[in-house]
Amino acid sequence: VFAFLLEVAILFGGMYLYLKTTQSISRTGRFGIVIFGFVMLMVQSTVFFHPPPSSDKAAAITALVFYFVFAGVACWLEKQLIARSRASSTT
Amino acid sequence: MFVGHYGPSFAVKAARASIPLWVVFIAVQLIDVLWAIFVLLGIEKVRIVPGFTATNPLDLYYMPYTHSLIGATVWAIAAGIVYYLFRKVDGWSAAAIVGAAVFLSLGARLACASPRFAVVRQFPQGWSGTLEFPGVCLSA
Repeated sequence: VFAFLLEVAILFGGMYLYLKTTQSISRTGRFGIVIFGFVMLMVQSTVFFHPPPSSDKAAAITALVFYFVFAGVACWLEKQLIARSRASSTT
Repeated sequence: MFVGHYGPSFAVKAARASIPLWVVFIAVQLIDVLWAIFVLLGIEKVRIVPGFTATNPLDLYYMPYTHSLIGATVWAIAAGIVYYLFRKVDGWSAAAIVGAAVFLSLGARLACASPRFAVVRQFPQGWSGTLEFPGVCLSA
């Protein structure tokens, strides 16, 4: 439980820093990042509390899929946000 | 350790906005991405042992090319060079940050590794036994 809480703190701490330096340019921007954080936590909970994977290959494939899906979602969400420094220079 | 790696990704992005978020997402997991590929190819070994640690059933008993100090150093340098080649406009400092994200994620893995986890021990014969860095399992 301590390890899980530590991961939550690190994840949302980093997310807070990111959101502080950005400004949403669409409705999905700000809330999307936070929702994304909770989705990642749900995946983490599954890893923590559900039965282990059926084989080493299954574990590797599952990990690969999540790494690339998370990176893809991050790429999309980033487009919904703009750095505050850029936002202020354009206004 | 899984989503905790992404916290530093957001922090890096906050500090250096020019680096794409997806790049730091991959960078902090690059060692595990390579590990998964190597496991699928049979180069590195893992076995499923329910209850192996409090949080993880994976007995990562052979992964010298990804989860080792020298291995991580090589991948970190490679990641920095690749980043620089594709985004020269960001300069070497951004490439160094990407490389550091790759390397430092190994330290984060140590923090919740099994006490049996040894970074350098896992190198092929010749390297083994000279240096060991037992991990501190937070969940133990």
